[in-house]
Amino acid sequence: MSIKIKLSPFLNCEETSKLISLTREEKISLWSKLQKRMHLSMCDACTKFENFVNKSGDIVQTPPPPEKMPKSIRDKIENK
Amino acid sequence: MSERWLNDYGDQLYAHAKSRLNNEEEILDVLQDTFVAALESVSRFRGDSSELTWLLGILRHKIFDVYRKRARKNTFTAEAVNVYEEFKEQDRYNVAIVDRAPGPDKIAENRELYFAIMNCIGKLPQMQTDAFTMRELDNLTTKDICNILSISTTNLNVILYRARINLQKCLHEKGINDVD
Repeated sequence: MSIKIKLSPFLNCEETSKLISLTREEKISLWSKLQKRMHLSMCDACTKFENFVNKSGDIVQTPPPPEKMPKSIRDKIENK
Repeated sequence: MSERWLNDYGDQLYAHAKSRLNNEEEILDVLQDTFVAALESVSRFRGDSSELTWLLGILRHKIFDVYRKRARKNTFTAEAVNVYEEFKEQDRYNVAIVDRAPGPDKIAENRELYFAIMNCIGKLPQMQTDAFTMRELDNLTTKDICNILSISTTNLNVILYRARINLQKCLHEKGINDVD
């Protein structure tokens, strides 16, 4: 993702949300971290987005709930 | 042999496949492929891990093969178009700010949230679903996902970013605004 390094400490919501997503993928620079934190300190929407990204990622990593294999699938596998 | 696997582990294998693929036909195919591959390689199974872990390992790769095939079918340079335009279009922030007050149904159970998120993942454009699944459910590295989908890192990061934006929007439409 093209995130140009910006000298200004102030990011807009788009830049910040890209950084939030990118933080889950790779290490971001210290400067980017500071810019992100600065923006988050005054933006509810981006703070919500960050919570969402982290929480949703954690939740889906739990093992899937138990499921019964439907009989139709079981039969097809057995008859193969 | 495969009958015993089917009886002992069928449900677990099915649950795994179901959380990662969205139609029964694909699920049936990967399960069949898994059992075939397992039968072919059973002599090499040394019991370092449990049988279930071994079978799940095979199943995982069969599922990645499905993603790989799909990605080949899609020419999806289209995914990488201007994200900014979409960002504006969705107006995510307006939505989020209007709904600052907590919704009437406070989501207490993570399980409920799990199902809501899984449902939304299934509704994303295919490439976003597959990339997000490999990243967050299967914990694959960026490099592996890029290999499977034949895309660049930059492209993957854009796809994941879009997937997350879309997921939040989808949950919002389900009335889930706060995930704390």
